[in-house]
Amino acid sequence: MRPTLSPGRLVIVDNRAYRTKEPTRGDVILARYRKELVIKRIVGLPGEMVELKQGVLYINGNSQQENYPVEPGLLSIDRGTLLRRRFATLGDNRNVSAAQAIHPIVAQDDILGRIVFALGL
Amino acid sequence: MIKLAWLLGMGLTGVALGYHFGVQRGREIPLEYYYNQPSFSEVQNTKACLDGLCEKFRTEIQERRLADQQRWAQRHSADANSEPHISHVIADLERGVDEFAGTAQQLEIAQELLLALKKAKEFDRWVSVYLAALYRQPTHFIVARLASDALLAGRLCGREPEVMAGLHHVEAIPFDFDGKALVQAALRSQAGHFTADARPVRELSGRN
Repeated sequence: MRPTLSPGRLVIVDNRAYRTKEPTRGDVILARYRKELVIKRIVGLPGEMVELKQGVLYINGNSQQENYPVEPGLLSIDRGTLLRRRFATLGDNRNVSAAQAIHPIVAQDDILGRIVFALGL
Repeated sequence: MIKLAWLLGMGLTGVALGYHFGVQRGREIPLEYYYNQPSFSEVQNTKACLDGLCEKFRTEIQERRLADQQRWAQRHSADANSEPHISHVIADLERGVDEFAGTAQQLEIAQELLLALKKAKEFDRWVSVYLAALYRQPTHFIVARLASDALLAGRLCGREPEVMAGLHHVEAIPFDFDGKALVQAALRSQAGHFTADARPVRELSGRN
């Protein structure tokens, strides 16, 4: 999640953030994924067609202005249409290869909360 | 001092052995190492996961096969290519063909099974596996690539008419696809041979 979060930082998670509202694009979340916990940013919402082309995010074919820090890079991820209650997530570091990138598609029930603060240690 | 050194040595030996056996027990490579997720499509990523499962399955069988071969060669000073345990490999691959039934990966496993059956000179079973693959996925490139081998195996076990019928079925598919020309070439090359020598050749099991 560089440059937003570096390894070793302590994060504060609001586990009630989504009790009354839906997750939105740009939220940094803590989620369950393959028996582990991951911290990623939501980049796609249910029903959207999401694609990353050379580091640029496209939603339904239109390039997206991302108003958060992103490590520039040429990462590309093929497009896919998200199913109901599925959110596309991605790290902020686009300067990794496709083989290294972990971009889980998480079910809403697997989102444990929103990262609201990070402490440097 | 000597006692202390002895205790220290035993302790280090214990740690080393524990680490070694721990590493051996934890040798299985996680599935995630065999594939990556290519897209934001759950469907495409699931297909990639299936490819990874297939690759993991094939790799593990190949590892066991090589280990068995080496052990046999060391114990019996035998040719490293001899495989008296090939029946275990065949059984594992047959289970894999069943496990991956209905998927595109089934033919990947079937191809490995065909190689093992050929090594074991089980031509009758070879033809059965090939024909099953042919009728399930007639346009798959493996069917075309092995068409000539199928005719030869069919001749060796007296099932050439079945193989010819299968290949004619593929040839009759009314659209073009990769490998159709290979099937047609195999049929053309065998046409004269089949009419000239139509007797089953079960005895010639050693001829590849």
